[in-house]
Amino acid sequence: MASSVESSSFLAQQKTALRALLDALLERYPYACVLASDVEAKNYSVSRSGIRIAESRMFGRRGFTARVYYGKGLLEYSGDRLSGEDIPGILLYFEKTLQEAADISDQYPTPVPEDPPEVFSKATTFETDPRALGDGEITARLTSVREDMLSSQESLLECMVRYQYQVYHKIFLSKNRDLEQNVMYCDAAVICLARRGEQVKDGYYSSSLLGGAELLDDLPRCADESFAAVQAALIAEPLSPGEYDCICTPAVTGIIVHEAFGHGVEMDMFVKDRALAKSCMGTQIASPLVTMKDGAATSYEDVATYFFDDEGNSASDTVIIDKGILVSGICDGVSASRLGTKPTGNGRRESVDHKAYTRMTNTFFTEGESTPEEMIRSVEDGLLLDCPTSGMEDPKNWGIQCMVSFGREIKHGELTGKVYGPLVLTGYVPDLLRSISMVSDKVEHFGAGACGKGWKEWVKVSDGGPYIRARIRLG
Amino acid sequence: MEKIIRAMEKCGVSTWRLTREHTQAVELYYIRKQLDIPRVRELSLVRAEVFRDFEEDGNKFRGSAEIFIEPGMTDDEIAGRIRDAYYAASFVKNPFYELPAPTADGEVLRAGEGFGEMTPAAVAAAAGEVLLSGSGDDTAFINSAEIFASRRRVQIRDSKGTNVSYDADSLSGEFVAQCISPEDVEQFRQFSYQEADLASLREKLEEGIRDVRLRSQAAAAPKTGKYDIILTAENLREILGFYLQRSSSAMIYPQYSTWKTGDNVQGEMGGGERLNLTLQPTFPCSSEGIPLRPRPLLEDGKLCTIHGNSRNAYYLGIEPTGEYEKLSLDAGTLSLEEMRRPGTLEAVSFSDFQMDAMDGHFAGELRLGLLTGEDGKRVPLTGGSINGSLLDAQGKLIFSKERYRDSAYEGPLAVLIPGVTVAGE
Repeated sequence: MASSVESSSFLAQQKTALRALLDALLERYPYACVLASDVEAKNYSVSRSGIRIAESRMFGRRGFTARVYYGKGLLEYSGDRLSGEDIPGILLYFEKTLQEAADISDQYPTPVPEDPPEVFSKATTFETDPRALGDGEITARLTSVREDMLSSQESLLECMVRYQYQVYHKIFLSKNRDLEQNVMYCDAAVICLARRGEQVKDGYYSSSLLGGAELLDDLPRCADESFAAVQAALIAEPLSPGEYDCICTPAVTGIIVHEAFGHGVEMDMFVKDRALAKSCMGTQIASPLVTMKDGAATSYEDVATYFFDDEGNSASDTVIIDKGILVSGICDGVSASRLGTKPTGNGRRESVDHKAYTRMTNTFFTEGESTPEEMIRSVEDGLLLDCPTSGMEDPKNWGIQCMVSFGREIKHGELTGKVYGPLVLTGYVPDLLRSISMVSDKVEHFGAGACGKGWKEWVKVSDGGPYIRARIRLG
Repeated sequence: MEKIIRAMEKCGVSTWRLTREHTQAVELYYIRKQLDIPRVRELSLVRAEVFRDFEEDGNKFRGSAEIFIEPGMTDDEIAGRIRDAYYAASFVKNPFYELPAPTADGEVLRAGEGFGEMTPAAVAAAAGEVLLSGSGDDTAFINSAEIFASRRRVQIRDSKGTNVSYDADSLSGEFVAQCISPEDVEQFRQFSYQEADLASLREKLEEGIRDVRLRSQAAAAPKTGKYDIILTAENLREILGFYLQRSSSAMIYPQYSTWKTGDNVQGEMGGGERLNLTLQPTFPCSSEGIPLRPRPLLEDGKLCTIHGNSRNAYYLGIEPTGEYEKLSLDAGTLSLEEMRRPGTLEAVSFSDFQMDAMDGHFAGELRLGLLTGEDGKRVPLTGGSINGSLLDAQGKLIFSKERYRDSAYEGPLAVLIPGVTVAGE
């Protein structure tokens, strides 16, 4: 039976002090808000290096951020000490350090943030609480998956197994808003390594969910997929560079969705004139087979599902591309006010001590009508691309850089058993999206990774989609 | 910290390590020449490692678990977390190892030169002025920038008596240079210094403006084929990261890397320069409090030092050196101009250049390349990707006489790698 994530007793105790800080700020400034968080996060890993159990503060920590509008723009202070006696010192930071910093140059024009009335407390659910399951049981489950794989596949150098959970609690207070959310998500991954001469090849497969330790049941499947991936990587040969007919697995579709296109519709980039998408609204940007969505409130729940963002705006389910036409970007609150549009609940911080930016959440292409088998049969000479490793955005010029471990050769509609890799996908994003000629009937999504803005500001996201068929330049 | 140490004793934990970090930082975000938002951060965090020794079937184990102690935690909460961590450590069946020998310094050490008398706020403001006074114009300019000036005090204590503290200042950030004509394009750059190095920041901004003008003129991708490639600055450091990672005890103990000291890890030479690499300390001590000093990593391509933490060192039976992130390279026989022979492709920037230490491949999508023509003129190109194997190329590397320095690398500015595959038009 599903249980709801409980509230944080720490935040409950802090709420009086947070309210006092907010009131003190509202006495001085026309707008103020406070975001506070409390986090429990633990990583488990088992490998040749040993067993590791460690708390994590990568995606959150205990602390708060106070934001004010001072007449010309915004100022922010992030801290972790908050009692009645700390408030004068925090006010001094606003009145002196931050005001002096603001006075060194003009401020970018920013309207007073909107503050629509809203009060709620919401929580996600889970089947098995990893904290109740315990460190011993979780470690034993990981060890068992690892040992089973290594004992059955003696050619492997390594089988690393990892699992992590995060329980976070946030409250957002402003003059008109009093919001609370309590969320738990988990992810897990298996990485198989095998040696080929001086090279060590890897196969990676992951799983994630909005929930708890029930995810551990998926570890054996991850191990099998990871082993299949390293077997392919071991026999991969270099590919002659060129354009190929490709079938992308849902994991590769996900990285194209996220890296090649998703970053380009983050609307803080519109404010800076850094995104080509700004001038393409309402135009046919992709094949009519393509519909793309992003949202912390989308029906495809995953690690980036929440109820309000880090600026107190409600989560939404945004259609970005509708049957090939670019219809919307995603937006944080400050950028929305500057652009004269509505926020989509995508203002996210790596942690309470980081700035909020427009960030993706759960981002994916929706399903089509073909089956993966039909799609492979349709290819005369091409590749089935699998196992993405990384990607990089280029909102300004829509250049693609996505890396995948390998592609399986398809000849006359069948997989030949030959494998090529590692591969770099390059080209112009709209060319790739317009070339999509088939879309499969099921969506898969992946949330074990993290997304950076450039090379920093890591937040949990999920991405995915169906199998797609496209024409792609490979190196 | 004293409160946490008392809680350790109360909970029966006799072996522990505590690392306290206190950070004060000022952050300035710019859109063009206007301030987007100024931010201040002041935060503290204690990472506590709790160790537990036990025996099974005559074998000694040392388990550990890591927790965070955050401001606002009550004594009861701290004690509860320590007890939970001590229990968790009983499931971590790692073979026994010794913690490093204790080190204690009475005074607070300093990483690099630091900001001196300047506060993070003053350094951020000065960096902002450099940004605003740049040489851009209406065609090519700084689109946006982020400046982070921070002062971090780190204190490391353990149950064996280690007690060291150091201050680490950092001026870091990123900027986007934009050129709107003939093509509207941008170039992304990062910077990171351990001191208020405004001169290097100014130079980096000027390079960004120069490069984005070139990128704006780039109309085509290189033709598919094999090229002699020049990699510079951060991308050269990324290549050298292969040697840093493969020589770490974290890769050698689990046998991901088979390197041993004395091995000729650079392999057979093919007309290139022998590598002489040195591990350079970024901070006065490692995360375990081990004092860091320059150590030879490669001498004439042979591995001199396996580096890393005390646990892996104990298992391998070697000296624990602590972890290193910075490299210096003693090499350089050609000037950059001599490298730029006809047909050579200089990769100025990538979308994301990566070196995979596991399989030895490097790759990246080219954002700006300069191809030297037969007439010696350099033609800007964009698009396509570079994909090569360092295992194949490492005997052929030629380095520049010009030098470069940042927080992770000191050495030649450029490397010439012959015969690298480029997927382009």
